[in-house]
Amino acid sequence: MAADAAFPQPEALEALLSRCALHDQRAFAELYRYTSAKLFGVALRILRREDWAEEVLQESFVNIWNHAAAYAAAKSQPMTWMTSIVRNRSLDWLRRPRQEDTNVDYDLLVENVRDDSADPLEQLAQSAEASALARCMTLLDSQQRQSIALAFQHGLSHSELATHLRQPLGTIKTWIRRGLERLRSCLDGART
Amino acid sequence: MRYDQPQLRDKLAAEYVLGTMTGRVRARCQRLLRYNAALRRDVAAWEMRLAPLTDLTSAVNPPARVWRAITARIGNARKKTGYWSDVGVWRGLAAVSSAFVLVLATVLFSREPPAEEPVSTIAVLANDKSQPAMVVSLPAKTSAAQQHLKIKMLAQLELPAGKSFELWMLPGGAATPVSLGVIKADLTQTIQVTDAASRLLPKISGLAISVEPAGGSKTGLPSGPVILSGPWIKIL
Repeated sequence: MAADAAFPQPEALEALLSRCALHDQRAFAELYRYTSAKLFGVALRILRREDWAEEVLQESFVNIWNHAAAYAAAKSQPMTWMTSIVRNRSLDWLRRPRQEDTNVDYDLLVENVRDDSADPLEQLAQSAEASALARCMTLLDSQQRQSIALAFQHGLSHSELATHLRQPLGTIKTWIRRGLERLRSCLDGART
Repeated sequence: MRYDQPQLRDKLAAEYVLGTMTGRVRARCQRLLRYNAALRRDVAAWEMRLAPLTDLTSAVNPPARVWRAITARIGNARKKTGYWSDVGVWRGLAAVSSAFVLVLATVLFSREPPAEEPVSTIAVLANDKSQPAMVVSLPAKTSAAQQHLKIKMLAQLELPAGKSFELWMLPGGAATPVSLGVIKADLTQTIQVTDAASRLLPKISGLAISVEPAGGSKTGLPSGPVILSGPWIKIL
């Protein structure tokens, strides 16, 4: 991916966030230039509507600007911190009380997901963390793996997963719960 | 459910990060997050575990209007509220103000009066929880040629191995911070101010401390986390 070649190291993003904490607008513009396409992609996948994703991206960057000083305390990678802001805003948007009732058609989405989750693990090898996660994902059953990937990347709720994977709600909840438990013990084992 | 049980808490954190909860459960979890530091830590740990899944999402360039809307909003926010009131670290203004008065009283009155020079300008630097951690003061009546700043730490700050603390002047507005140099981890110290910095000192709006590579930032701008900051207040 051409965009990734120019993607800056975490240290560079950290330095930009520090300058944002001191209200350096040039640093903020640079941060936006480096990260907005990736973060827009994250919002778009979850929200599936460009106008919503634009709204959420805007909210998220205003939030990043206002809370850049809190990043120092977050002790996470800058991209993880910013992605969490965007994912949380997207999910909040998607789970608004009115929004949950409107039935967006997921069938096309699920088709797409089946395609790109056929072998998503190969792409997951860019960092040590990523290859550890990729290895641990292979230990899951394929249903567990698919429901976790669908939920994380596309923001599907338990009941949406149940509808679109054509399984009872209880089964979905069990897949997810067991999958997360196995992931956790595998990842934490790898770290120690 | 009892969220002080580590396993239940971890399960809740995992489902929250994965995003499978309904809106109502999600909102309840967010209320818990505000008060429960252990749950916040578990959520951060899950965000870290699952973060690589984001690598699978392809980048899409947002339209230019998004950036225009963002700059309009942060520009307006600053005009309305001024420079310091919207800085994240400055949230607990009331707490800091009362602590500031206490610290000020201590600095000005409580130590051996003959030895203490009068202070003309002072900053109480607070951490991200708005707790005061350092007092920086400029003695009055020093000639412009040999100005020095007195630094007093209210508690020992932990300096990570291979790092230095660097003190910055914040000119305010869109201007970038200017270094006053690296400071030691000592509880009290005096640093000399260069002529150029002396001229800028009366005009700045605040001071900040960042954690930098040993010897100070290589870029001339803060490159590590900003751990303390506070407004620069003229009192004499």
